[in-house]
Amino acid sequence: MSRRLALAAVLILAAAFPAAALDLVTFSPQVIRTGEKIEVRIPNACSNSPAPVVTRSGFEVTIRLTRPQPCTPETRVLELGPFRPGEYSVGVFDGNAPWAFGAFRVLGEGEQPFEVRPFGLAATGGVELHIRLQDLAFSLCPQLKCAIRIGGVEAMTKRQGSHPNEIVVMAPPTAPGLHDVSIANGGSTVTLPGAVFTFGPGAPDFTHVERILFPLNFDAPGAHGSLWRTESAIANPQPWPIVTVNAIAPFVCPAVVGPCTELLQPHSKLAWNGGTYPHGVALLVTRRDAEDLAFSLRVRDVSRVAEGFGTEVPVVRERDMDVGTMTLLDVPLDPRYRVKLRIYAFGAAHGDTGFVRYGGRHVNYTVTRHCDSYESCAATPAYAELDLPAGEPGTREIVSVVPPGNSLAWSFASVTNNDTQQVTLVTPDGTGGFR
Amino acid sequence: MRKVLLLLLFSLPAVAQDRLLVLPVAPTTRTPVDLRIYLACAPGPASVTVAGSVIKLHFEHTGHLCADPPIPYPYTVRVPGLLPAGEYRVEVTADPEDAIAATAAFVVRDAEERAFRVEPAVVRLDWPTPPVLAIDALQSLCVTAANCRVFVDGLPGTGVALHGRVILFTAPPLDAGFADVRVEHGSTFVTVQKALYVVGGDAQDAGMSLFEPVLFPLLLDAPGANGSLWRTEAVVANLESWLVYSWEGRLLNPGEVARLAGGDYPRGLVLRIPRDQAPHVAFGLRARDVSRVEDGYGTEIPVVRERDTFFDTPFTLLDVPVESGYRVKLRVYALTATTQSAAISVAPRSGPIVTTYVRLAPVCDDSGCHSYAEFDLPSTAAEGARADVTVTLPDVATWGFITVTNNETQQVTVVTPGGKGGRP
Repeated sequence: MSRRLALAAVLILAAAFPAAALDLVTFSPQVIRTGEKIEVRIPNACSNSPAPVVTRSGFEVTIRLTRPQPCTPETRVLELGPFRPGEYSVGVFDGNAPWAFGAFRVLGEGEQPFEVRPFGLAATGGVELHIRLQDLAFSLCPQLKCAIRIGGVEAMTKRQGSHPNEIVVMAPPTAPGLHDVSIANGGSTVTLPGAVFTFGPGAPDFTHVERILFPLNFDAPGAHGSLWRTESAIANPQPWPIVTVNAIAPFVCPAVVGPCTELLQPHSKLAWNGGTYPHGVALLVTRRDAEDLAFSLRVRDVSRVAEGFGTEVPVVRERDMDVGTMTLLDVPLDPRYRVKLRIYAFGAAHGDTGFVRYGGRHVNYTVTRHCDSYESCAATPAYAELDLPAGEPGTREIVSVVPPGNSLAWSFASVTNNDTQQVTLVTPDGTGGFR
Repeated sequence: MRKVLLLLLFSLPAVAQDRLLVLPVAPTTRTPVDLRIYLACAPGPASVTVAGSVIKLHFEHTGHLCADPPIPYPYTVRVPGLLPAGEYRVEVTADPEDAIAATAAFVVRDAEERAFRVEPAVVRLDWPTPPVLAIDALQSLCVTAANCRVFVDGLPGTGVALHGRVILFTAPPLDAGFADVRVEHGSTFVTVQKALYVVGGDAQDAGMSLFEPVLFPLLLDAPGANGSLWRTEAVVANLESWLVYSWEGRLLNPGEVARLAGGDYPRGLVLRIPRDQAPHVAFGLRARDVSRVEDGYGTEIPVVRERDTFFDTPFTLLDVPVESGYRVKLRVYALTATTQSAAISVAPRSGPIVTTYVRLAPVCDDSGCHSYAEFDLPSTAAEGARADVTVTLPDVATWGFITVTNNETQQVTVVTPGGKGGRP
């Protein structure tokens, strides 16, 4: 049994059998950080006891405290520490007879007493927040007897989560922005600053929100009888829900007021075919929650489904985008293929220009962008596409794409065989060249 | 008895040095450093002290609470504060004996803005020829090559040439460790301290913190099923005006584009490139059935950088087609040598989740080791059958991808992990 489990078992037993012979030692502050001193409260000590003897060995603290007769009971308070990070057990002995015990945990640098998932949710609330306590030893919310506040607003509904150290609360409505989460128990309050971020109908705050680009999301006929369709999926494999700032799947948005969010339930997957974004769209998710999702995107000529499953198109994270030159290696400008270069730029305005260099050519391009709300503008990249003309058979070129201004950009070339409609993508990797 | 307990406490790290991890693998002066050690017995309170280049991680010995069976459990301790640029060695000790149970070496790189940077900022003494280095500054430090001189730890570089604002020169004889670089033009000079790190023979362990592994998942030229002939086409480009190096030495000249058709690396090849140079090198890779070269240009396969790998988390491959008529193969890679088993969970749209364990095998060359395993997913006759595949391999940087190959047309669809996860 791990030390942590042993501590939990001791505490659960103590809670279950309050009439047991041993007294329970309590500690203050409720959350102890390394380097801090702590107060140890020993109940039923005697006011006429001699000074206690405290010894430490590893994670074990032994307090020897004589109880003379007659005894005038009092709670003896000792100051101990500071301690290094870890989980400690405390035993209080009268001679060799144990009569009180307790356990506490000391948080290390960077550790928090609890964590909250998901990070992002709509300001309207109504989403279950999973609060995972770092350790039961803190007794932050025994038997759900505590007040949990999000941005100062108390969550009125709470329940035990699937783990003993997890509490699930229904997020109350809050103002949009970054909020603390606090757990108040008796006279003690423990606060996790900036634990959740709520979004409203205004422009997303890209400090906290990431743009995850789905470069294609459409269902459209192509050349030579082809019928192109994208197959997209977003999965939330986590045991907590995740709320996206916008919705990109082609379903009717149920929201009447505020942004059209997507609630991805725990262990769920959203998959759809086709879409209405031939020029790409960004899924807006808080940066912290984005790390917990999985994505996939394929494009397929469904007029020839028997021939293959199509071509994977990357779902592009911001870390894969660039403000500088993007380099596409070995793009075949061969008469057997149609080559289309697509350029996506977040932060560029409609009409901005960039340029492309390949094979000694310098080609300017102009991006377009059509959107009609804060939300759709945040999710819509400025876009341009160029058909690269074929050269001699066997020609391959290095294509350098310079985005407009300082926009955060990504691009790729699709290479389509004129006969078989097989598609090969060439995506950028690395930078270099025309800086 | 105490000695036995101590032996138990540190038996794993004593035999496996890689069980002491420095996180992140390439720390800078702006990143906190965590030390992770794997122990079967719960240690006592830990303390970390930094004395010069030695970091001492010390556990107060408790000697009990051992796992049975002795499965190592990770314990992570943060080094207080931020470390200055330098080379460091970690030593782990435990009470009461001062036995060193595990060590690790790494280099903290300077992340602060400096007057210029050197490309590459890390070189090896073992390279067969003296490296040609570049000085890259925001402004030209020299107007003409004739009046421009460069010194490394006081020794003059040779063959100084200007390429725009970039100064190229051949390094003088170098000593292991950090070196200061000084650029003089006439009576003006600029010095950057610790601008260059020279990897000596006894500092090879620190290589991971200085060289970024770049994985080519496949480099091959091999016959496949149904008359197919698979060939990869790799391309590496250096579009900068300086030379690019790898662990072995010179890799690319300025502006050079190198192509490789085929290869003998069906389990992947890892190039190790100085970390400051890696972002400036462009890569491309395609696999193609050259027996049907008229059908298409092949399928792009990602060249995997360290940031694309998954550490301490499973990754998920969504919507993998598993219809009959297709061959579906999963390839799993780890960026270090390991013989751990990856847990591969296949979750079909309907039916139970099946988990299979596949052991990785190290693949080594002169520059280091990575690891590889492959697994053929079973197909089903149901039309439209899809499955989500989750790969779990703890404590190592992991990546994987799936190829879905049509038995008739040999068209290949690649499925790569887009985000991490767990079982959907």
